[in-house]
Amino acid sequence: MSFTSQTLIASALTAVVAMTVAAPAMAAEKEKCYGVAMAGKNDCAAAGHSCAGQSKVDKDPMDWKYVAKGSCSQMGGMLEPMKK
Amino acid sequence: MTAAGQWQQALLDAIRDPQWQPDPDFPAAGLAVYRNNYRVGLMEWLAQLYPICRQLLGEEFFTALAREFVRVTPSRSGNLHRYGGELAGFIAGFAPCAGLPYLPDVARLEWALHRGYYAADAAPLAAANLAAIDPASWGRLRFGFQPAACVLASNWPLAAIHAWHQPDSARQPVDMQQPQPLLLYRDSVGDMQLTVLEYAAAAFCHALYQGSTLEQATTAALALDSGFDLQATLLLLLRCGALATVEEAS
Amino acid sequence: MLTSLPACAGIGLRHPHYRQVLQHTPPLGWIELHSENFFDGGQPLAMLQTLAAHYPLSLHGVGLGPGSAARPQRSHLAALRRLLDAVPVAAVSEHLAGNHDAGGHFANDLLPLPYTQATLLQVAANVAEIQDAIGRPLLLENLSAYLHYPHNDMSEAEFLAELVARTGCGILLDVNNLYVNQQNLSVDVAAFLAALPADAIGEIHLAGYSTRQFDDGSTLLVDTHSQPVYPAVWALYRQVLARFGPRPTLIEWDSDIPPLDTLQAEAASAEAMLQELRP
Repeated sequence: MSFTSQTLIASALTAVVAMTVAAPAMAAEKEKCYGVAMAGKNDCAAAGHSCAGQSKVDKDPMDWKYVAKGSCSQMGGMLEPMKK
Repeated sequence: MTAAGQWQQALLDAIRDPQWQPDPDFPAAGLAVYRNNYRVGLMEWLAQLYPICRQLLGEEFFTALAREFVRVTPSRSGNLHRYGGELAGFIAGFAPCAGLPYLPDVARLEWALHRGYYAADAAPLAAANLAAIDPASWGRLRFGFQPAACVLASNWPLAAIHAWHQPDSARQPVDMQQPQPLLLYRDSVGDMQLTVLEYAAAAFCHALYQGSTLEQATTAALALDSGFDLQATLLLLLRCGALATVEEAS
Repeated sequence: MLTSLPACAGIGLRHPHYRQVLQHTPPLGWIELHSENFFDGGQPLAMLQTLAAHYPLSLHGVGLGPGSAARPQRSHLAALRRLLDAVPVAAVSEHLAGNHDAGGHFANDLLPLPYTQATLLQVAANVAEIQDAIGRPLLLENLSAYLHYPHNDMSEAEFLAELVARTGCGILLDVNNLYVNQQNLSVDVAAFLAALPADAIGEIHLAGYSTRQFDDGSTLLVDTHSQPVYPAVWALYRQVLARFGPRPTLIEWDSDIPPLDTLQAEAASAEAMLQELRP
């Protein structure tokens, strides 16, 4: 057991407990939920489940080459492969 | 198994494996509809689930990646929302993505945002819960996070990449040398929020998230930075409601 | 009681219309949503609770696959139960379809099943297990299918009637699915309707299909829910109403979703046909 972490824990928790931090209320404000649910920000599962057949037909292009043409080349001059 | 049961199994297998040539009981056109439904359904789901990966790669590349992922990754749930969590690991081993080493972490972030958005509700831990505990036991405390919250250790600027791809983004250039480990949590209206953690705080939060005791996590953080601010980090966790439970390690 | 939905027209509420419906609460007889999109918690659950305060709500499941040769997935059943505990719901439905095997492999689709005595035992057990778990009757929907088991002992309608008799479940009659099967699989519509127990029909679905052509020259109608209800399906709906009387009727539209007005207009057409039957 390390003396340093013990003392740090003792002082930090004493302070935190004394502050009576209010934890945030959970989704009580449902009015606000509308705006958020609609904003399309986090609701990645916009559609998700359906009970219909797929209207799109996937044709697998066998000879397709993987060339990224998206934002990876625009974010910060990231055209070249990164070395880490 | 009955003949009828064998037929059901064969149909399921034939749909999931497009290479598999089933017995001629299955007419080609009908089977093609089910195979297409299966593949397109999962691919479209991945496209919804991973909008940033999709933008990074572009539509064609992402579609090809998703097709390949679906081919090798069976669905294990009737709930589509459970599908696709292995994409980060798949990308990490997928040669055409080797030039984008941050992509697996972006996929991990998107999966965590998805899981968090739908996660069960739980009452957040308050400082008052800690006040009831004997100070002699503080070092042995273990914290449980909200089902919606998680800590993502990463060497990549995940918050900046995320911000860049939001619809209203000013698209500031992203500094790829800037690691941004993240605390993810769901705010009081149910929106997922990203908070960038400082280096030692990230190690602390990650250790807590992995089930370390308060003492173990603090020691890990102090080893990285002797000036680690435990009080501020605990306050951050409590104020955003990322914690749900506390218990004394036996 | 199989459902507490009103015997009027409703619409399937999908994501593009959430905002409009929550903000303006337009007059919609009732609404139906897919159960699995609201499992667990957070905003989706909160939104569903808000909707339930304004409209009779029907939850339509797509993932339990009670027609599978294996038991329903326990975790899925538990999640549905939690959802029903959290939200007041007028009707709960699923599809008479398979989607998984005993090894836990899934196709997230609605697969046809053999209509045999042996299958009936398994499926009746599955339906009973679901109803026990959710503590209420389940409405089971007839499928649109693109192939069928070649050695069936009975028709889909007879199979549904047997399930009703054995488990006390109800039937969700999808008129578009019936039409699609008539075209694809030469299902006898008159015999189908005659075989269904009238009292068990708790809900009706209407939707539009697409026509798909294959390399070998064959065509199939695919139940894509991406079109208005076709005239032939409206005609069949009239036939269904004449046989069973007015029932809660849903307009379903799942891809290429049009403005809410269009869905309301489709619902109004169904409502007009329902009105004709009222004294």
